[in-house]
Amino acid sequence: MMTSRRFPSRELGVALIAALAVLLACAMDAAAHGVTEGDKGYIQEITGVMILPFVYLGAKHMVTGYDHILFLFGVIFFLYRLKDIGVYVTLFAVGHSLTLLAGVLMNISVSAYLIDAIIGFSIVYKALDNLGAYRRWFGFQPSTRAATLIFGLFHGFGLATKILDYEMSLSGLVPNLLAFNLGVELGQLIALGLILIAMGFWRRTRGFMRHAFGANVLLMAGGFIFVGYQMTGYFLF
Amino acid sequence: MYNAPKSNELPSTAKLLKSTLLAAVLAAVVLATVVLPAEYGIDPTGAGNLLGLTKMGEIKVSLAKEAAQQKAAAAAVTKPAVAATAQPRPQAETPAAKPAGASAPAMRVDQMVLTLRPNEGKEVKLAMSKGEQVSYFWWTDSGPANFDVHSDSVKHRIDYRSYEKGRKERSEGVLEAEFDGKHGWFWRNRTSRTMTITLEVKGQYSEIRQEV
Repeated sequence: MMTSRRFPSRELGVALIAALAVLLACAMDAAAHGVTEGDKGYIQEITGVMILPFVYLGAKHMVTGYDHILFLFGVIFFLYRLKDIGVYVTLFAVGHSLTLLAGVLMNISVSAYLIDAIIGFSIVYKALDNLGAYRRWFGFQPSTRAATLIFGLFHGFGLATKILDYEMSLSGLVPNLLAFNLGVELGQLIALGLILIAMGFWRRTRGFMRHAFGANVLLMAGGFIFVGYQMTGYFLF
Repeated sequence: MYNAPKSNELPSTAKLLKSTLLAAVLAAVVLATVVLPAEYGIDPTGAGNLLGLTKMGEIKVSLAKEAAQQKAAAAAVTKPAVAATAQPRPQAETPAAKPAGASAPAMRVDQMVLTLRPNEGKEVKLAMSKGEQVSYFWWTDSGPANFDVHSDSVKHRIDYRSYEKGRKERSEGVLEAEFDGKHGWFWRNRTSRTMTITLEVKGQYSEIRQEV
């Protein structure tokens, strides 16, 4: 009888939490010291239409946006057919694109902490959904498509808040913003590809269904950590 | 659990390994043509330049260098300040030898002319006490300059506080010091021609210096 596991899923879970902690630490911005560095520094130095640079910045923003990635991971966790994956990813993309564009162009400035806390909650929601919690507790399954679209809207507001913080020059704003949005979708596809390859290996292991439970619990924990971190920031600053 | 898998829908191991290899190759290509140029200005294939991303990396690298230089300069400045405060203070009860009025600066007028090559940045700061005001007027001779009106204070341990940032050919107004410290302007020339910036100030300050 085969007892060996091809991929150690418990260690995977620990690694996920550790990676989350490291990412959280890196996410805390270094205090500005006169010279604004990195992406924000670059954006403040340029004016006019610069399509490819903004496509790159959008892609980078999404690939390093672990809160968005974790939600996406939760959404596709139990999606196996490419068609299903395509539908849900499109719903998420439509949701966040709408509010990304509306949020920046209408200068809707919500507290970044609050909106990021809601994004953290979206991760918790999706993890619970994967665990079948709503059917267990309420006897009914809320529409996963609606949830993906609605949370997508909130993710987009989070993106818009970060973009407003970049202080993009008004000159060339609309084309640059559309380029950024395109970049976000490209970044999403890149992240999705990597996740699907990893999930492909994982799903083939014998222990997957057992470890899937633990993995979603860890995902939920990650979501709660994110909520707590953002809400603390909200009340402190 | 929700949406249980059917194993015949799963991709085969062979397919997965091929996908992993493909992903690794794509990653190497993207790294060399997009990411390294855009983050560090390193462009081994020349594609980064074509895409307009190498310039982004060069700007980011120069900003990071300047930030590091500022940090080093600030650290060097705070050390002697710390040494000074470690000396015993004169008694507060005895009246100060210097009457307060003598240290209040009179109205001063100054003009500074700076030459900025493309991509060069320069900074002028005025040493002012809280509440003092200076009216200023600066202009460039060709094209707009990126500017940042900001302050810092060793005494209050404020590294950087910005009041206004923008990109203009001229600007005038009144600068009022919110705290004791250095207050002034940082300009950067992001045009392709060398520019001259002239600054005229009039008001209450004890020192005017070009910091960068």
